[in-house]
Amino acid sequence: MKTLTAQASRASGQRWAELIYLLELKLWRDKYGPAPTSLTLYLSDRPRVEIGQEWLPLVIDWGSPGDALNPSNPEVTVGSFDVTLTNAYPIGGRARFSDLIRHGLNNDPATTYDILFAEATLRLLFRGGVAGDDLLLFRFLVEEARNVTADSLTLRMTGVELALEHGEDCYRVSTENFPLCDPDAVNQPVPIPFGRLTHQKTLGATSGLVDILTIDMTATSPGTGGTLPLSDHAVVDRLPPSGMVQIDEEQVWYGAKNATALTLNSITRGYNGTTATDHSAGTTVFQVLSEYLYLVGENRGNHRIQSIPAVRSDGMLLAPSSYTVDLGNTTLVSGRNFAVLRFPVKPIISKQVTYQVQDTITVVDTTTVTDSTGVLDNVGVADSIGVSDGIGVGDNIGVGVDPTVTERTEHTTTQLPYSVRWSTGQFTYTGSHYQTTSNLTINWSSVTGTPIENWLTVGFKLTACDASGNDIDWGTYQRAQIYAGGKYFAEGSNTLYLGANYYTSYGFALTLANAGNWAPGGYRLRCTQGDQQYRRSQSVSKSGGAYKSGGVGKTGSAGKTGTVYKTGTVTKTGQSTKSGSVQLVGNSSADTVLGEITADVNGLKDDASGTISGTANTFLEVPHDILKCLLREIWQEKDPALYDAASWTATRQAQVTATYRWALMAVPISFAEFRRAAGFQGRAELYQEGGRWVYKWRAVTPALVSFTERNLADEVVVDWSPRTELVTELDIGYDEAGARAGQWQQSLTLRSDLTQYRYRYGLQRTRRDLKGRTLELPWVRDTAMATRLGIYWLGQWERERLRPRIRGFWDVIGLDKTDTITLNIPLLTAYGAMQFTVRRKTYELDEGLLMLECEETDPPPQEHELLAAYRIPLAFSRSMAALARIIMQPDRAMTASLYTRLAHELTLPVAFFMGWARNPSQLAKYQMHRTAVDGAMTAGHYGITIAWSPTKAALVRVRMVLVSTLSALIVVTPGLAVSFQTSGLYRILGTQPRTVPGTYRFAAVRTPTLTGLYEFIPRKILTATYYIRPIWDTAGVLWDTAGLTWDA
Amino acid sequence: MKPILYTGNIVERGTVQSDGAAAGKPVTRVADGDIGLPWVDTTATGQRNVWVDSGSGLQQTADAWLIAKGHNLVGVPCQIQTAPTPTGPWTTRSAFTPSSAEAFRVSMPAITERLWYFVILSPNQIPTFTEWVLSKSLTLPSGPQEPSLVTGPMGNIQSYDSPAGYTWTRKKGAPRWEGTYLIRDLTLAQRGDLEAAFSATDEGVRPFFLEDADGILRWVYWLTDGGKLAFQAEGITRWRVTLQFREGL
Repeated sequence: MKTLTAQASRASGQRWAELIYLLELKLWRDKYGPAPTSLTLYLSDRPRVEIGQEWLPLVIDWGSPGDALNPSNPEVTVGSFDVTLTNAYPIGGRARFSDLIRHGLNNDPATTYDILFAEATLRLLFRGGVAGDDLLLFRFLVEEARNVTADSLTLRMTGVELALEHGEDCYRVSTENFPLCDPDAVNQPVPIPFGRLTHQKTLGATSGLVDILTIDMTATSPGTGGTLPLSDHAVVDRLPPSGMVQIDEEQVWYGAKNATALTLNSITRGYNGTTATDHSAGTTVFQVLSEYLYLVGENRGNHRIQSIPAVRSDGMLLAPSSYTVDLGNTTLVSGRNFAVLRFPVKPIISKQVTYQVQDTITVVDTTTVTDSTGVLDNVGVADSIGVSDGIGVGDNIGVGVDPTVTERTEHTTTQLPYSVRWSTGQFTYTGSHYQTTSNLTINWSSVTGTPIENWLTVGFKLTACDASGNDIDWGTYQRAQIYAGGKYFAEGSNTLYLGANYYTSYGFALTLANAGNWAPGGYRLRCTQGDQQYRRSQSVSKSGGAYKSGGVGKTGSAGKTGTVYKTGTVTKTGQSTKSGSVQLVGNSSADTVLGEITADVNGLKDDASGTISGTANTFLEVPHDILKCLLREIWQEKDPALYDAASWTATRQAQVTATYRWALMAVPISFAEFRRAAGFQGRAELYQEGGRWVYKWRAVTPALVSFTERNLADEVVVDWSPRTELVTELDIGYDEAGARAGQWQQSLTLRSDLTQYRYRYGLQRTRRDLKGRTLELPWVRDTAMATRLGIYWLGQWERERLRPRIRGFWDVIGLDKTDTITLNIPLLTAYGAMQFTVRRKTYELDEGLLMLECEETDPPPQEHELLAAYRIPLAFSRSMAALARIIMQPDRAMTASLYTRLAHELTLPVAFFMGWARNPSQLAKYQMHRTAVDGAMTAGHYGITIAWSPTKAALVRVRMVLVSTLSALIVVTPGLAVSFQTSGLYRILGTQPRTVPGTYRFAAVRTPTLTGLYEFIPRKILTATYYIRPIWDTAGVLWDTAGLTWDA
Repeated sequence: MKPILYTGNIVERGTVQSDGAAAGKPVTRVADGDIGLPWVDTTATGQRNVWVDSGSGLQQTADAWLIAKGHNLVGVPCQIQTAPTPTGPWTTRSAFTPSSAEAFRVSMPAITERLWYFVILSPNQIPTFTEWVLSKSLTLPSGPQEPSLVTGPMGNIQSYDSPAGYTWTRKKGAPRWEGTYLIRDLTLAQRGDLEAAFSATDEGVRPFFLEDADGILRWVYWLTDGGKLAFQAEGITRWRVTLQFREGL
């Protein structure tokens, strides 16, 4: 509700009034141009001088400006306003209003303006008010001038959202800035990240061109100077005239290209120190650059992305040393500030599995195998094994000739020494000397085989003889010589090489060189030695035994064909045990992958002034913070005066208390879409009220105005929400996948308790009445938050609600959308006390009335039957085997029960009874000791002990009756300690406060008027008993299972 | 008293100029027919002039000048001067020092001239006023006859009764005056003068000053049926007419 000044409040409280409407119209010329000019017109329905300004009497008809929130969801109907002005009155230096509109030749820079997006504000003032007493009702933008005549024209205006609807300012990747960008990134918006995000797609700003190899390559073909065929004309065309590409691990230089033939020419394989290897057709070919850039997100204003803790390629974590994170790059695109990943080399990954089997299993087998099977083997073996025989043969057989041995044969004819005497008459002259006519012939036995070498060894002695044949001295007698084979032999032993000849006889002659003085009796030759020493070869036949020794090696493969049949029975008895471990180590073959680069991102944080959150450098993840940041930085609504600070602050507090967090990559969507999504996921509505942005947490608030028939201009008209809008089954998709918009990583389904609701004509609903709806929560990552949101929205939609339409006077002129009212009229008496929220508000200015369309709210808290939501997280000791949160929720029946094991310690001044567990499968074992010790139905301290089900699947609700005033009191048993981070209602630690070892959190008390959400969440299990006064939460927040831990 | 009509405002028909005009407060406002919008000068120093030029070769006749209420000329001597050309010579035709911020009228002999000057001799604050009228007055031949009717003040209000019977009333604007005068026994010449005065308001479109039967100056519109005056014969060569006026805001 708008705050009225004393004058306005006094004036509005009277049943007589003089309302003054003031329309300020600011016309712009070239508003977004380099030299914008403007003309501000101050218009009213008569000449006025109000709030220090003269207002011209141009308004003929004020019309009925209004706007609305949709009855049961956060969608907004933008404000609209048609005001009719006179067109016959000189204004702005022109003869009539329409002359101010720039169009066609009416283009005087000094006196013509653009009518589109002219800014208008509508104010209301009670007569007598001064500056400050006026109420700003709306801010509008002019859409068009209609029904223009010489007398009048109508300005059609729309809420300021008109300019925001498609006015987002977001950079999209362009080849103009990034000629080597990934084709998939072209025209893609660079998102603004918020919250803690994982696996978010990055945009390849300088990622190089990528194509496919169309042939199989070997290490040598195509070789240097050859061509490399590719497949994509667009890629070949964009590649530089010469450059470097990479295929698997090999880099290839090309000196030319042919975009028509789709080839890279004059290539050099294995470039840049890489090795030319084989590559298959279809392998990725990518351009080699000196640096690769990937855009992660954009910083806005003074808000910077906090960090990029992890980067992945194709899902594989990359080593931080392989890239550089630049969180604030302002040089890539003028006027933009990006978070960028820089890779010095293309971030390809080589997928290779390293495995090794280390089997340390020990098998202890104590089984006994009895095998009585017979084996029938008709397998044929094909053996192509080569045998390598290194066996040495031992031979003891006698051999006649050893060809390697020199043999000796003695003569056979004459026993030596042998002596021959020749008389002189037996010599004949040969022309040069005298020679005996007969030889001394030595005979040898013949030998077998073929001679190889032969030496003849003979020994001689020569003497002269007398006539009697006796030896005499040579004296003067001619000395004889021995001759054979063409040479002379010396006296004594001679050896004659005979080559490959063996002689069975060999003759020697006696010669005299000059027989001038013949010996009287002749000459005697004595042969003392005559043998042949020879080597020969001949065939040997061996007989007798031989043996082999040594090893035999067999190489090659043997094939076995045929079938083996085994018949019979094997019986194994006993036990075996196996112990130890198996480890697999080693490497698989490498697979090079050019994967998608994704990043984990911790999004924007607040600036150093805490502009958004109030605290410097706060990580922006509370819905309020993100929404406000986007509104300021994307839609440029930066003036603090444009914000209703109170509603924003209160909503932030509620969201912080409820631990609401978002994580999203903000990309351009229409403002209406964005606002709708934000409303569902933040449980708060963003709308214009009184010319300012209001961000309002959806909750039941005390009624601000009560309408009776006294202050209603007409009879109230009531409808019910349409049956078709009812939802009894809610499918919730949340945690949108980072790389797949609209794909949910988590989901859950909630169902109404149909037994609680009947149609308005009395029929109870049945399963057949289930009507489903999908609730999409893409920015919600947390199950607890999704559950809370789902329960809230299902609660809003699962029953019909009254929708009254009323017309009021100026006494309620300050009512805003979402304000709560009551209607004290007979028409509604039968339905009991009800509250309604204003959803549509229309000012009937000419009538001076205010038309409201309202929606029935949840039941308000009752003083003596406090039907509200309670949240009591409890911690229990091991002995009590429980850690639980109990959520007390109104208007639910209960089927579970609670009991207290320590009932004697407790004072239960009120009756507790347990309620229904929302999901039947989670029904379980809770019992509550229903003891009101003092029997008094008064306020007091409540102790609740819960025995938890072994499955921990529990959800219980407690309905608490009769609490008049609420305060919290916690009693901690001696020896234990609790501390609290916040002060306020829970600061009192009962009668025996203790020291403080743990960390505990209390939500702050929001208002003292029975609104708010309070919770106490122990973070540590203590052996203690907590007495916790329930605090009701009209917001209907339910519990969640997240954070539950078990007392180990 | 005989009502007097001041129609045919010379200032509306010429080009109005002034020594100065504050931003957004042009001098054209002194003849725009709206007594809610003032002209505001730029200084209070020295003599300040507002003048209307009928155009070369054109002359207009007036025998009275009027200033609407809301001026700040109390105690400031003012004059009406005329000139045949923009360079003079100037002749003082009338002088008056207002004693209140209410509307005032000053009569003078009928004068025909091209340029008319409203001279503020020595303002004590930055001069401002809403309407300046130079008119040829028409005094009706008689006072209103029975059954003439004067209604005023006539509220501009809107009332609602809630379902419970409570009355909520909203004032939408200032009250107005309405007068219905029956004028009888008009000669043909007097009828012609009345018709001329009516035509001088573009048949009732333009507001003008009326000095009513009580001697009060009122800024009024004709309330006529279809932009016409209906004269009924009253004997031979005599006519009667019912004139209806509503105060303009």
